[in-house]
Amino acid sequence: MKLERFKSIVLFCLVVISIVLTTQIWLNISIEGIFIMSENKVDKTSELLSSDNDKASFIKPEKLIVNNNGERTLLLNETEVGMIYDRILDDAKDMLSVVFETKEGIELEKRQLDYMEKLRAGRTVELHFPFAFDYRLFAGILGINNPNWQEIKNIDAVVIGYDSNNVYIVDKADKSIYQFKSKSLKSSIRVMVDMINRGKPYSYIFLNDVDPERYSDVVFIPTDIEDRSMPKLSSYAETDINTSEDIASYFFKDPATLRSIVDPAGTVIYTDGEKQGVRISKSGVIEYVNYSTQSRNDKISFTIMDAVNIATNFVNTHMGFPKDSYISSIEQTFINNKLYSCIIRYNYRYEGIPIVNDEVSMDNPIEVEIVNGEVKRYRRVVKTVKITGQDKTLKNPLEIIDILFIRLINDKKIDIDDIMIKDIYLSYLEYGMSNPTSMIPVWIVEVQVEGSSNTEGRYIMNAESGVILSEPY
Amino acid sequence: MLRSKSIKIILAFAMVFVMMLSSAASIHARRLDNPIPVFDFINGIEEVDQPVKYNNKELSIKGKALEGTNITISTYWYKPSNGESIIFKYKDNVYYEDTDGEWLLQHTDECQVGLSRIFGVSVNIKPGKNKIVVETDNGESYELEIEYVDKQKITEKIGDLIFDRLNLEFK
Repeated sequence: MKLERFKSIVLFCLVVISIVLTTQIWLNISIEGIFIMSENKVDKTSELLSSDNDKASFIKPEKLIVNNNGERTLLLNETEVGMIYDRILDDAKDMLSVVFETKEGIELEKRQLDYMEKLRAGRTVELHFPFAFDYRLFAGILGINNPNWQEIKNIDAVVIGYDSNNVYIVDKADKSIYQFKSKSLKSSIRVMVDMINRGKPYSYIFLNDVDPERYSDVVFIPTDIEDRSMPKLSSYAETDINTSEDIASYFFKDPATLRSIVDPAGTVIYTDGEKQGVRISKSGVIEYVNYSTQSRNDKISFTIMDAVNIATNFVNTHMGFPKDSYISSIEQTFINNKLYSCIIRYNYRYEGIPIVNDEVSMDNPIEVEIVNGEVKRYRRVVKTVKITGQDKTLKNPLEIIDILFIRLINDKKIDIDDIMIKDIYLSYLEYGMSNPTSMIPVWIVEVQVEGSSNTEGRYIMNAESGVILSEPY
Repeated sequence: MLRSKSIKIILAFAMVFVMMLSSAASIHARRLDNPIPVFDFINGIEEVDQPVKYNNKELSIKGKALEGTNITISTYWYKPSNGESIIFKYKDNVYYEDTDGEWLLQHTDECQVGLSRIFGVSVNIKPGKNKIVVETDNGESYELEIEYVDKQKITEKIGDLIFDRLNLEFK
């Protein structure tokens, strides 16, 4: 009798397991979703400088969009969903590594750029990078030095079908989407997306679906943000936290032997008198210059991959990277078809929102210039961010666009048909002269104006009031 | 002894049944990927087969209209006369229209179109038949019928169907 009862319980357990597993497999309800996973929250109030970042972690999308059969959302690298964000990113990189490394068993199909519309209508995640990565460089950063499929020149975005596990590489200059299909492409993105959907994410729309003439294909806005707010932040410069001597010690072995000058603006300059110097300004800009690089033999051969390695290692060992840093642009200069110099820029985000500093000479907070395979110049203006406890409501992005149109049409006398909105996104902007400096949420609108180059560029608008705080001139 | 054996048979049958039914539900759910059209009051709306099959609870309504146009978006849910029916409304591949039910207003949202000439609103819909009515203050309007299949509800229904009818008693 006892054995019979035991058998019945075992059978009952099997039925329950079958229900759980079939639910998970066929209806996209994750086991993690059924048995809620606990997550250790990381305190993000203090900015952690890291000096052990590997270069692959600097490939991050500017936008991570989740499409779910017509509904879509923007996933930010926030504390609450940080684990999910990282997992999607890691899975995407693993799948790309498989594509780059393997040729056998992978089917490639080249499609037109308008195939993106179909991908967006299905169940996919889109990773839009801040600039078009060179294909070989992208693979190299992921650790694959001789990738397959070298007909691909650039990677603007990567799309992953989370039901099919197909990988799509978007090359906008080539107007192509490269579709990769293989049984060896596996990921847990579907499970991650299921967890995102359980959190009732904000709905977003692409404005080019409505008006492709006036809005680019990455203008992606939330439809409803009445209940959404962002904390006002305060920030401290690295020069407020560290003494000039401490900062100089990152660049010179023996700071005691250095000569130092303080100019009337309070900028401290350290130099060894022959090769290197560091300027530390009161506003927080730290600039290192190696005077000797230009006079070196320009026959030294180096690649863009070498430059990324040199720059990343240099920043790692010279004050480190802020949390959530990523490569935001790469500018190359060639002399006689040979790479002569390049500037690698890095950006960082707070809770998934990029930080815009008030230093007009630096669009990006970290910049490294490599000449002849050596660091010539290194500039940074990195802030330690804290929450103030004050929240700011956000104006609907459509209202923000309206305010901008009024400014351009009424004050600058521009025809509305000549205006193209290239992008709109939230950021934090340093605002005011106090110490610590305030950081307020802003909408950044990137505009292209036909026949009026001095009005096109980046407009920074207070996210709460819509007041234009900065515009091109 | 006989009772225990019959429980085991029922449970084994349930296991096979769940696997078959959930697979079928999945196929049904995956097919629902028709795009929701843009409600364009300037150039006209693209024609779509209605009802549009959809499997998200939230629905983004987007459209285009001239500056200053007031837009009203209303969502209705069709209450069937014979109660809620999600899975078994198709019989022998023939769709039986329930004409005795009624449309219930669920929510109304208003907005004014600015210089961007774009409006966008998110609405929630209920499992079953829904109707979205987008109207302008100058009398133009578009209607769209949407059939929302809630995968979660299907899972629950499957569970209910199996376990409600089983009188599970273990000695």
